Amino acid sequence: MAEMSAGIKIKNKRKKQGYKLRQIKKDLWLYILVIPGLLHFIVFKYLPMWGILIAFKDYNAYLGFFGSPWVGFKQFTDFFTSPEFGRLFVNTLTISFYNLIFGFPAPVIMALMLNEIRKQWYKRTIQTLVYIPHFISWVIIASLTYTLFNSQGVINKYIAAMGNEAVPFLTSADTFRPLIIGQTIWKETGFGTIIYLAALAGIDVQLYEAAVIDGANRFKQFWHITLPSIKGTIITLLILRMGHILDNGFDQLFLMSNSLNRSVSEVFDVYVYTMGITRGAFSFSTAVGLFKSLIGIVLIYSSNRLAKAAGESGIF
Amino acid sequence: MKKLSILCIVAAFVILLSACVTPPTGGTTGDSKQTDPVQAPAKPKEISILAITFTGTPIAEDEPSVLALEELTGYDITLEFLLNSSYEDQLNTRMAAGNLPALVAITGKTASVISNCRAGAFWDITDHYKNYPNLAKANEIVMNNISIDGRIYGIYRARPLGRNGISYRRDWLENVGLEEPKTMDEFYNMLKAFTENDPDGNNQNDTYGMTWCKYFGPLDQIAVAFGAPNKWGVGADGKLVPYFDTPEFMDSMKYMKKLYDEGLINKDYAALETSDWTKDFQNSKSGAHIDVTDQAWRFQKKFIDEMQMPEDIVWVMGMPEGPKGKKILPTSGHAGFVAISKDGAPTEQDMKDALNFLDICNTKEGQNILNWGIDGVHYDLNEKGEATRRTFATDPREGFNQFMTNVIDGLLIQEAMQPVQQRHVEVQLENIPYCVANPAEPLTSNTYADKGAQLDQLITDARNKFIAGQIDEAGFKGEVEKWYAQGGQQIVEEYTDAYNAAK
Repeated sequence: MAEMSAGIKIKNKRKKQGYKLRQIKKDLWLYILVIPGLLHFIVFKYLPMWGILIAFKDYNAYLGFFGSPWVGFKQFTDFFTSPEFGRLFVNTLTISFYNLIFGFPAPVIMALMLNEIRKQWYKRTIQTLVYIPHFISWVIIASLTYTLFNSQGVINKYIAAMGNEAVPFLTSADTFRPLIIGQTIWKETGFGTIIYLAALAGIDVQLYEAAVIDGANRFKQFWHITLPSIKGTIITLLILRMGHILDNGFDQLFLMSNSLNRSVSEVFDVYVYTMGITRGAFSFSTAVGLFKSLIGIVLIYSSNRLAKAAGESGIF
Repeated sequence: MKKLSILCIVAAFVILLSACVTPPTGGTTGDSKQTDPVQAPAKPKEISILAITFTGTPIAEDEPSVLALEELTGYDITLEFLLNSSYEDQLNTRMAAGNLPALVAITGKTASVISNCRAGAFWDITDHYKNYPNLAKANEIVMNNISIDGRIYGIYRARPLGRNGISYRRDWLENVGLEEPKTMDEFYNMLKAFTENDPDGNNQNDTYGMTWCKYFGPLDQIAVAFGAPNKWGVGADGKLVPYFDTPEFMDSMKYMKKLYDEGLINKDYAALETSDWTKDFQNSKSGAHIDVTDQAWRFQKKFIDEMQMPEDIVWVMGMPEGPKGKKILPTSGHAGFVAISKDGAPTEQDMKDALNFLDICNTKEGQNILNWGIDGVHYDLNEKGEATRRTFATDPREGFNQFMTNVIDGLLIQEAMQPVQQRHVEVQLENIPYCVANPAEPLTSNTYADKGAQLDQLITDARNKFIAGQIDEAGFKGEVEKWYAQGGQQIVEEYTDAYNAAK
């Protein structure tokens, strides 16, 4: 009896393997289609990871990877003890924090508002229009901002016409953050609504019908049906966002910073670029980048844990 | 059918992968050369060059000038260019990738250049360059200025010492009824009149004095005019003093703050990219421009060629006299150097070949091909033997003069000059006796090589903040203290030691 069952098991196993192979064969084209994506990750994401090691070396391009001496954690101690560290950390977090507070809810709100529009042609037109800024590069946006906000620009001409002093939007530490957050919201809000609109489209219409019969008004429907239905999506996106809390978007900040707003505009991304590429301190900037990534991983893990603890599904 | 499509996909992958692993080849090879049977020595030597392009459309390799230089030198030339605005960034990445050409134009002694020279990325030519008849005539002082730890890693790209000065609108000055300013106060009056007295006579308040940008050249020239040292001064105790820690520098800052507060310069200058610097002058919105003297003719030529405006409306002068007498900020006499990389010239023979090439470039014929091009193609000679450049929609020789070293003066064909050009040459000569030298120019400080860029930025930021009124004099002193505390003190000591050792 025992022997027999063992035999069956083995047979089953073989069957299963055969089944797997057959499945693969069946979807052969799908597997082939996956290959470029996998190659992309291997070639551009996994192989370069060995480069992280130069954070522990004093890398010189001419001596090369193997010729450069090991220095242990010197680059890290240099960075943590440098006078820039505190400022960079605060600036990076502040901009991220503002982006989270003002930038993250913006697409949710916009998606909800679009969702309430009943005229389909109107909704679609608006949707298309708000996507457009996403496809405009930061260089163009920075020049638009420059043209609009410089001391001779339209905004300042208007301010002057109202009889007020011109505001140095571009060259002042006080106006830098609002300008940055404003740009981000203008550029990304429309595109961010896509996922929420998809989630909203998935809500069962019967729920609303039942609620209407129960006498729920528009706001109650929104509060008790719409919002809970997209809560999962919001939390997933929030977790993903946490991992990028130390990324401020290099292009935008690099283009908008100058010496009069540097006290608030210098962040990790720009610092890594200026140290590494412009000044050739490759090891040092790798160390900074590595530090940034570590914080990102920790944040993703902890916010995922938090979400799970709060009864949500999390992302992994 | 199906098999065919699989084959296609596999082929596509193979091509993709091979594209990933094939190292990029440096530009095109000398195809044009082989079609030229006249000049065909058994096997022409090859030279590859990396230089700077300002427009992004540099000279092509089959341009007559390149062919002429190939014929003159007997080398097969391969040219590569990087954009000026990101030259240093890209040079660093190229060094890291390890595929530099044999000759590399270096724009200055930056931290990464110093560390790469020390690591041996470029040939030390101190003991070699004098074996070549033309290179041996290079100016010793300038050679010393480009040295690192006393060793020489390239041939300098020569620039006139007294090249700095002010271009201004002569017609505007006449309209407001002023004379060419002799002192800094008169210069202020001129800027004031350009801003407030409607110099273009259109009854609109649409002009201002002078345009600045992110580049600090104008600010540095004004600082030196007021008596501040050129980067480093020698104090009473024999120690070197940074320029920004002097009372004269503070005076110049107050002067500049006055210009800023009264709107005589553009208030957004700290956010204005260098590439947009000349726009307002060229569009007749501002009337003075502190830069190099040759800029005056570039302005004037554009006014004539593109805007149909009269001749001789742009004029040029040296920096006016400050409270401590006439003082001029010189250039270093060079704009960096052309180095020989070990990537592109691995053996000693390659290095000697490269030096030989540079040597031929410094013959009379070489210099003139690099600077002027070819008679009848790029320029025309008049009866006095003076040359006039031909006008092209886009300069076909762009970037070609960026690896020109010109270590010997007086070999170039004279230019048939317009009045403003003659004046600019005069100003350059007038400047020379007043030039303030930088005693630290040939010296190296390890701390500066390491932290200099951040520390420099600390000071430039503080200068902008002071001029914009974000900090006061005490605040600026505080930033200077920070500079000393964050490594400036070490830099001062290292430079002082090096300075005394070199004496």
